[in-house]
Amino acid sequence: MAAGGPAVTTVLHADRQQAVSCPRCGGVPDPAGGSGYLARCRSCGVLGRIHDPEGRQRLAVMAAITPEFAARSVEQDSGGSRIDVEGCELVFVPFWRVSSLIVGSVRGQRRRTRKSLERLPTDSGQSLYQWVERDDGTEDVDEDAERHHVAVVSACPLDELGVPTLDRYRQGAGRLGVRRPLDRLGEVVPFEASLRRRGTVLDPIVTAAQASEEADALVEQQERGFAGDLLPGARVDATVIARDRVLLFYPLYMVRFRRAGVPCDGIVDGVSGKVVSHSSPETSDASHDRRLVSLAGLLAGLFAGSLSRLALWSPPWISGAEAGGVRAGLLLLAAGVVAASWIGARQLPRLLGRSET
Amino acid sequence: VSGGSETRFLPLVCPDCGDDLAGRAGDVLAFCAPCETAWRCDREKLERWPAGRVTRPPDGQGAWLTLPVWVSGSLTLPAFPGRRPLSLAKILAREIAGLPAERGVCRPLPLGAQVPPEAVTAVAPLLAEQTAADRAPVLLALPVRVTKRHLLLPGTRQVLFPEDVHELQGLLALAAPHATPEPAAP
Repeated sequence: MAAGGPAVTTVLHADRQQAVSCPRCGGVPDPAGGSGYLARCRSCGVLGRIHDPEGRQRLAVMAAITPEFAARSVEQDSGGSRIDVEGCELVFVPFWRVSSLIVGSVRGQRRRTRKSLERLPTDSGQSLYQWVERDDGTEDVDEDAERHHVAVVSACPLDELGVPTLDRYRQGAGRLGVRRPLDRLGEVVPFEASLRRRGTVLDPIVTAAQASEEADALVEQQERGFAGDLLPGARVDATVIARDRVLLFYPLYMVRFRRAGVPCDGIVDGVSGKVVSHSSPETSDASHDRRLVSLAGLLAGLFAGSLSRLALWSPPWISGAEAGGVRAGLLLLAAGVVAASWIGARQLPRLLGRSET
Repeated sequence: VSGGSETRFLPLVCPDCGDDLAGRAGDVLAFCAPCETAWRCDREKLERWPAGRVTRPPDGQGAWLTLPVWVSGSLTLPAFPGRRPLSLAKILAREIAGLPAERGVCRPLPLGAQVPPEAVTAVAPLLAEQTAADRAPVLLALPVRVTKRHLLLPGTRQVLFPEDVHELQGLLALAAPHATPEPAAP
């Protein structure tokens, strides 16, 4: 029997953990003894496969960057302004990766166009040549449709941290590299409990069944897309002939830092080192300041406009020659209001104690 | 994956000889090299599966491996996932037809079968091919030579491309220790 390791092998589900034992001897399968979901029994030594109806494998992507690199990325992303890093935590975030092999056929009609180079005479007697595309009827289409479709579904959504939630409505991951092919993700290893010693492992709250539903919806969209350039009435017969579902734990660094004394957070992709999101209370303060300045500017503008109107299109009570000094005073006052509001708008954030970033 | 809703540990031991079966975690088949047999391993218990191999070696020099292909009647379907399974099905049906084959599998084993045999029935209408309805599809080990740009099939100038086989490098690494000497000539 192998020494060390857990006394029992458990498989983690979204809603429970389940112990797995060897049916021959009751021993404990050791997942480290085989790749992926192959395991070897520690008691009788038999090689076996952990058959998990919720998914084929649980894999973990190892972080390719250091915490220091993550902090530098955040610093560069914030315009090079100096930051004081207070903490950098490695978090393994779960994503379902559902691969579907879709095959089918597409039948219908496609609009056919003909391109030709045509000469256009100009008024000056010269000629211009340009490509002109003309409708040329329709053509029948009978094609194979085949696609290896990969859907990535967030198993633990983290919207509040600025990490995009991937589901049937969104597959664009932005700077998050989780959608890259597995062989381009760097070091990918079978998930083991020891991963929890490397960083915080978030458990999945989206079940395999829910992930499959999201993937089904995306596959449907893909199937509709097969007939995207055909005329209405096209027929698509497609089927999924193979499906693979993997729970992938992806590394992200949560960087907590201060910039000009203001606490901020940054999320950095643990593989590529790119900053995924950058939350800063300062940003909302700056937005608040902008609104305040705009409102003050609007009020000052209205006041200055009213004064100017009085001075330039005077009512009868100040329209006489003897009131010329009053009108000049009003004009000067309007100019003063404009100048004061402009200076005030420049100084307001500083007066409120905000940094200029 | 079929068979039950509980997580289980399925020993991968050849029911015939007691030796370890060879396979990958995500494949639907595992193999016993000494017995030259294939076993379906994605269900509640192991199930013997008909398998054979093409005996003609691919032309050229260098690394080679065997790819798993389903054959049923006149229909052929790659058992490995790739970017264009239907196109490959048509190519392989044309090119495999005249190749010499025999029962049983040997090293390097045709690992990477992730497309279940039930898919053969699903694609038959798309290919307008007849399947052997009364028999399960046979897994055929097809030797393929891997060059920098192409995968060479035995006895033909028809080539495949590395992108046609997902996880090609992984499969090649698994085959490498067993890929010499050359596959037996007919």
